[in-house]
Amino acid sequence: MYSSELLKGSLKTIVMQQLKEHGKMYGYEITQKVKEISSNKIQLTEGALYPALHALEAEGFLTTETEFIGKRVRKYYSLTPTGQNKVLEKINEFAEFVSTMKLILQIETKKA
Amino acid sequence: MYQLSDKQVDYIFNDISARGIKNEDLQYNLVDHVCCIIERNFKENGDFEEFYLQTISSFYKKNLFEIEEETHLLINFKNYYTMKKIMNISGLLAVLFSISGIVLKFLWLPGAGATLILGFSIFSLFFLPMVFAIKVKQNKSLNNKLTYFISTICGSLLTLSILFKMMHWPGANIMGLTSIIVLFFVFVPMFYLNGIKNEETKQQTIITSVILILACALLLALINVKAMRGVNTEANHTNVNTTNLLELNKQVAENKMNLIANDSLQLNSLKNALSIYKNLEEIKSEFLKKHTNDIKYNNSETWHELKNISIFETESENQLTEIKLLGIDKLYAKLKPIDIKINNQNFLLNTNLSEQDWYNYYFNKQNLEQILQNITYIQNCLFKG
Repeated sequence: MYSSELLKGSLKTIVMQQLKEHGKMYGYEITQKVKEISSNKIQLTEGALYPALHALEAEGFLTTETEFIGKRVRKYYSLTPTGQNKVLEKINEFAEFVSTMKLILQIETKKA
Repeated sequence: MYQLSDKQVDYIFNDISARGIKNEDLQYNLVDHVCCIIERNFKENGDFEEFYLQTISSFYKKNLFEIEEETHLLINFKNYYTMKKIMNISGLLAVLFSISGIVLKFLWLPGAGATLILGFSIFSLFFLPMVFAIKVKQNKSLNNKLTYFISTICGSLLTLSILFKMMHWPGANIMGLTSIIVLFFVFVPMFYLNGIKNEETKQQTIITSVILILACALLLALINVKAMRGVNTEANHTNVNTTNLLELNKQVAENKMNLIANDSLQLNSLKNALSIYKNLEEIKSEFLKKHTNDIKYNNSETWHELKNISIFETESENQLTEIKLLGIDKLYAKLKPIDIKINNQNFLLNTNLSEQDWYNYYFNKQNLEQILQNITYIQNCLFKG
């Protein structure tokens, strides 16, 4: 499992990418999906996920709809048109960051 | 999969709320999240309460409220960056407009006034309040917040007072004096007492306080409080001589009138000169009253007052219009018949100047003191020869 420090900068990108892939999702569903894709290597904590979801919503990248499950309310998140553009921007930025990090940390060399 | 009862959902909801989560959306999210975990992992024969407490404790490090705090911080951080952007842009615009305005003003080019108004207004109404809002967000101490508030108000007031003074708008003196007094008696002591307590900021606080006190003292030295109250000051001897000379000329002219009572042509010319003299005296008084609010035109003493206030007074493109409104626009025509010729040159109305240029030469783009001196010069010329 990766440290929370490593995940912190990429959390919003991960969440937005999941929503891009799967349309509307609720919080627990996102954590489970990420856990599954990463083979348990990435476990989004509730303390990090919900503040990020709320911030993305406040920034206008996400929209919500609610559904009643018995007595409780479930909030589904989905990308707004602005969010759709933003996620591409974020993924490109992250890809560039990873290639730069590879250079800095000489990851290719070490493997060889 | 375990099915939660309504009672259990209520229990979870109440507990999450009791743990300090007040944001409704966050409450819904957390309740649903806990419920999902319980539904998938809880065994029918287990202890629900124990399982719930175990689950909820995995959500936080110290307490559940930290999730709400983090949410609040993240949402506000977005505003924080927007505010910082506004602060930087307004700061840049204020600097650009102010510098352009000053350059235009020095070069006597049109648009100086409007550019300066923009620059100073952006600085005092956008930049400074934005700096205040950002500083307040960064600092939790009430004392520091109050210090920032007072300094912002003083800074804005002082800038606006200088702008008002430059544009000859009313209220400049009172704004300037209030801001300096508050800065001097409230802000500096607060700033000093706050900063001196901390060993790290102690030295810097002392230096900044000394600079601030001196800056306030210098600004206060520029303000003529007596003039604002309309109290007469002691006469300035040099200017007493000037005005006395003027009075003397007037008396000589009046005496001359008696001597030449029989020469109707000369008498008419002198009568004209005296009437123009009185007219100009009224114009000076009106103009001075309009531009200084309080100072009454009072011959010798007024010159002394002007020496103090003219530091702030600058020329305005509208002055020619203003002075024309006071009745000086017919002066050229009035002076023409009584103008005297020295070495074939018209003395009062310089022959090299057209009527418009003559007005511009004496009254346009001059500061208050220069305009009054020019009018006095014309008055003096009236009795020459």
